[in-house]
Amino acid sequence: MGKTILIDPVTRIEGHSKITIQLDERGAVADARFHVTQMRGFEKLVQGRPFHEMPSLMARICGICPVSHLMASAKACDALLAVQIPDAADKLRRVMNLAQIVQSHALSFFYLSAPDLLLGMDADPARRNIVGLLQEKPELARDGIRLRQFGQQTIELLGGRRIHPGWVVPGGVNEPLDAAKRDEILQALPETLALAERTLQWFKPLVENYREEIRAFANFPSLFVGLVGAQDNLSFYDGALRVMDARGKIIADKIQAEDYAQYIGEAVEPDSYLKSAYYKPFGYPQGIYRVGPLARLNIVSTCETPRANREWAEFRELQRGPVLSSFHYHYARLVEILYALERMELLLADPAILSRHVRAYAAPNNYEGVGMSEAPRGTLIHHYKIDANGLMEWANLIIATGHNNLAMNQGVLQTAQHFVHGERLTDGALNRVEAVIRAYDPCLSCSTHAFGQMPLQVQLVNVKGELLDEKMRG
Amino acid sequence: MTRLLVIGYGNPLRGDDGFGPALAAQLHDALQNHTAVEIIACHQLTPELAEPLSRAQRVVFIDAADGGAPGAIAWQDIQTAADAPTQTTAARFTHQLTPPTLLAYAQSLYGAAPAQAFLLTVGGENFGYGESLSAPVAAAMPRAHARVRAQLA
Repeated sequence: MGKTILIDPVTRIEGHSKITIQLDERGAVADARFHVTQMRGFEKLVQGRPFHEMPSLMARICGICPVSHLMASAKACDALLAVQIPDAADKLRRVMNLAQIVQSHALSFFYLSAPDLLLGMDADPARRNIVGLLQEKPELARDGIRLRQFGQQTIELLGGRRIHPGWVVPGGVNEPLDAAKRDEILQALPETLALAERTLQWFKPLVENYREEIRAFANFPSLFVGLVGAQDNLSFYDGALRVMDARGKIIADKIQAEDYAQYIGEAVEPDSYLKSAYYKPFGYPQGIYRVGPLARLNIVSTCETPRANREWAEFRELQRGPVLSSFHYHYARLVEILYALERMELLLADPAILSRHVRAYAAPNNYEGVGMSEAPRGTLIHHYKIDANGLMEWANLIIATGHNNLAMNQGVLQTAQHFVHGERLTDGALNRVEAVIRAYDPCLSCSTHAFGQMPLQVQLVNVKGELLDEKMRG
Repeated sequence: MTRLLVIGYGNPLRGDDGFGPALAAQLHDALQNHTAVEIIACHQLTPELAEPLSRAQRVVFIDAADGGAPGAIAWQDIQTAADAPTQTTAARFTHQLTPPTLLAYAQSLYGAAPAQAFLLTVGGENFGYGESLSAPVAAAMPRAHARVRAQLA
């Protein structure tokens, strides 16, 4: 009879999950699965609502990346209106979006992952958390807060509210930016840029300490998917979808939002309510792909902004061809923070961003609209259908974490096979299995629309798949 | 220095989980003319809240609780930084960043934390998808409101 080790729940990611590792009789890992046990429901909640309510409604799905949903939703609504938003609105939406990239990556790196990266994966569990971080290197925690504050303040200056800004609307934004607010954001940028750079300089040498993790952390060939800008550049707010294989060959390119369903399919696993996305032409589950910082830095040819571009070139030297180890999501996040800050500076320095013309007005001209953007964790798709009265009939959301679900499972299995052995159940080994999930920075609240505490189901399964025992926790 | 900091948190699209932000919004309207009072309504507790915490003499966290009688109000005196390390190791999810952990951040990063910290919770009945509070939770709002206002006396 095989033995199952539970790590339950996975710590330090948004939302809840369970990992089960199944050993065979010899104590070797036979299988390892990442389960997500919450229900989806936001798509039903929107039925019958006027479509123009969608951005502010969708922003309330998640407290960590509301702006991402705001953007994808607004773009889907722009498509329903069939409008092209004014240039200033495009720039302003980009600035807000970039601020959230900074904010979200800061939470992931400084608060979720830093305890492992700084203290080591074998550190005492009582300290390998934020408390240990505060004791060992409080300036890291302070820098993380500083980055989050910068992102928050920018979002508030633009949108007027801390979370769930009602400023982004179908057709553009609600209000133009005035020079005083623009100057306030610009003033904070040099210090914030310096902070991002010193974090990179601190982190890069640390990577040497993680050779084993790099080899074993979801280090496998996969497709990489993400939006690419018109200059083949890194882009978050807008662009066309690209699919690249593990050798760097572009196998699909310039995919527009309305065509996503030809390329992206979704499957529901029997043991998880998290939909698994896959590249349709390759079928399920062969069409496994990754999105997010690692994928984005792999699929682009440039970051365009000078400092990020230098760091990106150095990042790409990690491997000939695309960087394959999911451990390097952490490094990629830091490069993206740098890019986001530089890009914000460029956008805000352009006087055109102060134009008063920030909204295009129309009634719905399409009954179906798709909005696609890059959230911190990866590609985000909002797909809406409305009736003749402009009321929502149907919505489908593909969340970044759903895109990565197959890859996260692959990562859990690979890491478990490498680090978990029947005779040696070290805490460090089990933490590495958790840590590979954390590398993807999944937002489970978003992807399964969960909240707060929910009972966790623990199942012990033998090699035949028969249920041996079942417990509820919480 | 903030005399009273109020942080109401929860997901307003999940029924009674919206209690915290709803009460915070109500208090914000009621206390607009009070100086040195800061009200924050948010989706969940995040690390940067440590900064306003470090400037406050007193803090009240407001949240809905799963389990317990619907509409029942609980008022807890939260242990501050000295005891927080034990509790932070139990706070295993960042999205469940707990009030004691935040107090520890404030103390550790800014050298100051509120001398008095409280957590007000109301028992929730319905955490399904929806924007309204259930009847018992809505009925508890005035009592909860008064409880927080009393902190200004």
